[in-house]
Amino acid sequence: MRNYFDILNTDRFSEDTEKLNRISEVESSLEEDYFVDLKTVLSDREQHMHYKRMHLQYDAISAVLARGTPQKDSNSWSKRVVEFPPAQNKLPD
Amino acid sequence: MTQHELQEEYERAQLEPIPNNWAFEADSLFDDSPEPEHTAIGKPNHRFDTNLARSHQEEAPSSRLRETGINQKSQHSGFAAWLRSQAPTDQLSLSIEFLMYWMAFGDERYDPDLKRRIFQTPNLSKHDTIKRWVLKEDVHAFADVIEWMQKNTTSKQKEQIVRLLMAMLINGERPTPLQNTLLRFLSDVFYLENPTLEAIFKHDFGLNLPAMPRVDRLAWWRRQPPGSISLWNAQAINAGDEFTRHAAQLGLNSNARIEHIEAAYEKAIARCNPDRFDHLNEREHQLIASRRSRLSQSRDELMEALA
Repeated sequence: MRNYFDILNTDRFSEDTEKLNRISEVESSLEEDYFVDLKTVLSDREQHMHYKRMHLQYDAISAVLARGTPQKDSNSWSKRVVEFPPAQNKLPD
Repeated sequence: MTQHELQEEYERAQLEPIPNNWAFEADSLFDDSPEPEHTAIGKPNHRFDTNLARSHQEEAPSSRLRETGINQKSQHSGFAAWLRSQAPTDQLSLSIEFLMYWMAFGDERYDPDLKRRIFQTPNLSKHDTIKRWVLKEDVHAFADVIEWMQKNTTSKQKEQIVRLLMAMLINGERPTPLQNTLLRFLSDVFYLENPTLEAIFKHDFGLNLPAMPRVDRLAWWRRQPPGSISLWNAQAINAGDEFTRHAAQLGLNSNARIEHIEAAYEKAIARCNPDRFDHLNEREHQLIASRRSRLSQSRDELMEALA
């Protein structure tokens, strides 16, 4: 899954308006299709809500995978969480 | 199922004594923690805390953490140690409870006031302690639960845990994107192969499990059947009238007719057959019995309304 919040240099706990304000700032750096998806999903209240919920799940899955937890990889999890590095969940010292 | 209903069912299933000063008690059990000041609640999510502090002052992590004694530098969730401190016979049920709340709360199936109450109450029951970890969105606690289940449950129990989550939390025939994703992940970390998750879903719901959700893609949203998205919004359903809420229990919308109700009820009640959970504990059996009762109540209310 794409980590739109990372692209926007924000995160899922930021105000939605803050995320929306940042969308135009990244337009020139993204491919058109990618940008359209990002803008559409985050601009729609319901889609944004589900995206945010899923974002947490990908962080959680990433945390599991970071432990080297054995798993069948029938859903290619390691590829799906590539934009959700577990380091994002760590605290600074 | 709403958070209230889920909580009621847990309370009916098992009322635990509420420990006083649970944080202190748990703290003393953290023998695997490198820092003696660790508390039971463990490591907060970095992004969660730094940004909530900016955007939600009433729940600002810094004050909340001070209030609860959470150590921001903790590198572990603490859930694993807390779980190990519980009676061995309770550990499976508590792990299942965590997963159930994780899946339900992830879809915001909880009372908006719950968060405030949980974070402001110093002495929490075991159930509220689990909710607190879940509401903190502690991904490391989630990883702890997965790790514990991998090591301490049989293949049959893993399969039945997946079936239980489906029976308790999926209303109707279309799991929410979050449910679909988590169930797929659980099936992989649980090595479900015989039967596979897809086979279980097909058997229990009579449909193919929808493809992996891509909520980040516009194309995926365009493919979703009309009406299914509104059934994923628990907060909106809760705000609706009684008929809508009962219909949602069965995965139906407010246009449901008698024949739809009967068919949906039969499928849902079959998923709650206690024989499907014979490798789980009495507590899970009570949960599923409560779910059956709630489904029957919704069916009866809907039928009466349409009669």
